Amino acid sequence: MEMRKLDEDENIYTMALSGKLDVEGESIIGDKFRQVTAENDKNFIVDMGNVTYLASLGIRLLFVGAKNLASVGKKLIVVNPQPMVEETLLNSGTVKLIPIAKTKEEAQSLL
Amino acid sequence: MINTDTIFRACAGNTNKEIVNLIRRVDTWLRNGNRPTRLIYNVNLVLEELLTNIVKYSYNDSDHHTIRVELFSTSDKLHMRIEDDGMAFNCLLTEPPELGDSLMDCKEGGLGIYLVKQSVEKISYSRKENVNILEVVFNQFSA
Repeated sequence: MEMRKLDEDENIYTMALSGKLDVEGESIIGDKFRQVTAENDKNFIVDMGNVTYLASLGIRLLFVGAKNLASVGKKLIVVNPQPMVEETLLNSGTVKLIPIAKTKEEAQSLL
Repeated sequence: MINTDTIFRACAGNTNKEIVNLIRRVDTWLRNGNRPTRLIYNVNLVLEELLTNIVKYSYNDSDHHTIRVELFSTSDKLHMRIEDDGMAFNCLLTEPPELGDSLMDCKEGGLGIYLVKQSVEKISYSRKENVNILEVVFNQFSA
């Protein structure tokens, strides 16, 4: 599991996650993800195009990040999830609170 | 073509590291049997959610415990059985998450079991001779 910063401007922090966001993946990136979303007061675009698997621990991690950002009036948008990962996000009801966009441009329009 | 001739049996200790290794072995067994991608994803998801629940909630000591997992096929079904010697705990009675309309008010507890129930055809819990038993049925060919 990897997490890397793609871009950052005045208002938006863009990152990419890749690999399996399971119990092992969450243990690798969890602390870093929680920290970066807690320390920033920008909107976050999280590219999940290379995340191949998402378990509830991973969804909880997204919720923690989104709550950190909501506390300073910002949003977290998930971009380009693979079909099975998107299905997990839809089935869990996560999308009611963490929007999904197909592209970075669409994500920007949701901010 | 799916290989339905074999049974998978394995054990893991009650640590996240050991259950991750067990899930990897199940994943390899399913891929070697040419199971559909969706089924493999769902089995991985269900197994991880159930095993992490067992590790987290079934034991109130620091002893080593053994969790047993068995999978086998019958026609269009894939059956999974998980046994642990922890406290009596029916995870299927867990309340679903309350996500609501506000991030700050949402309660994600129960999310894992909620996902499990949506990913299987059938799941049941029983307790026999101080062992928790979860029996799960997947449709191997669900779209």
